Amino acid sequence: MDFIPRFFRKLWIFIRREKFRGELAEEMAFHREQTAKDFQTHDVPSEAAKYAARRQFGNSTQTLEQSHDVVAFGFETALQDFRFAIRQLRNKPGFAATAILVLALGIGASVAIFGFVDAALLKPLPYQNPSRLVGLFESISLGPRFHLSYPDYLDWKRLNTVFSSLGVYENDGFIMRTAASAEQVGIARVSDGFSRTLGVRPVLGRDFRTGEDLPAAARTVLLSYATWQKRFGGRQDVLGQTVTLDGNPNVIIGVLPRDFHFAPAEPASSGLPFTTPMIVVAVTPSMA
Amino acid sequence: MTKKPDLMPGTLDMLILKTLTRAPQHGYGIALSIKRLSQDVLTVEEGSLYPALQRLLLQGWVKAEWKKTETNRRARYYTLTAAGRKQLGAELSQFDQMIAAIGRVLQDT
Repeated sequence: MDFIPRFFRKLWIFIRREKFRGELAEEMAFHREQTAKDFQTHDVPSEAAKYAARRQFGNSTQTLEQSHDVVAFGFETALQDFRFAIRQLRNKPGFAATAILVLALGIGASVAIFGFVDAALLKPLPYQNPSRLVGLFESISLGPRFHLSYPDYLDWKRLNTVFSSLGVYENDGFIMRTAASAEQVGIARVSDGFSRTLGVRPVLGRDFRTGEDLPAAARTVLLSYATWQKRFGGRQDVLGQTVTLDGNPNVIIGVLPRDFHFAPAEPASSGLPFTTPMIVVAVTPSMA
Repeated sequence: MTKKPDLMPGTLDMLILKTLTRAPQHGYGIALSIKRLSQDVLTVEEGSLYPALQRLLLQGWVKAEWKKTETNRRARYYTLTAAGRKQLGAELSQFDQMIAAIGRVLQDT
């Protein structure tokens, strides 16, 4: 078929669409007048004739629309429908508000649920080799999932031939002393190779060194990115500064990446000033 | 008022084109011609006539121009084009085939 002349005719009508509609309206008005005259010659009073003519045509706006739709591009019709929808919603603000509210709640709920499912089930964990990461628990006569004691950890580590790396953590709270006040902060205590096990490298400073989790070693701390930004203003010279936790000074040795998360050891209560934990090396043999 | 039979689907374009073979006509004239020639059996309503005319214009089978009527009114006259004449021929032969086929089915006893 001859698409190209058709397309140009459409384009021509689109460019002169106001004129097109005007002409069509005029044409139809003429048609209607003639029909009214027609009725009149059949001895019908002129008012009645006009009505009869109008009745015969029905809705002339609709006819105009339909005639226009024939020659209009698809998007014009869509645009028209869109404008119509907006007008209708404006006319009934109560209905519009209800509809929008219901949609908003529905979409919001779906997004929230998807967000959770996506993070928990679909997306791989944000670590290197997430598929090779496992959680270990101790099974005792009381049940299958118990934390292990520090001496057990040492034994597991010594006897381990299965895993390439083994790290432990504990979720903890410390009182942090600042110049103005003392605050409780959420902190995870971890073993020295913890971040290496996950495959996470600090964006600033260094990781814990081997042996830094022994009681004899100096107390050191890694900051979460959020803590670094909020409490230390993201300054580079934060390295080497000390934070006082439960009365003991800890040297800041590094900052964790912005997208680092470790859900099992993040404080549940957001009422705490720190919503993301600092990470501090275990300094006591009570690492559970 | 008794309901008049509806136009057979797909035949409106053909009727319009056929009407225009005699002389250029405006929309009202086309409707009137069809009504008269069918002896008031077929009524073409505005609601189907004008969309159909736009379709024919778009296909290039008719062209339109504004002229004065005998009563000195401005009206848009439609003229059959060469392509329209060809289209009419094609539709007529298709229609004949269709009618003949329907006839054969109905006459089967």
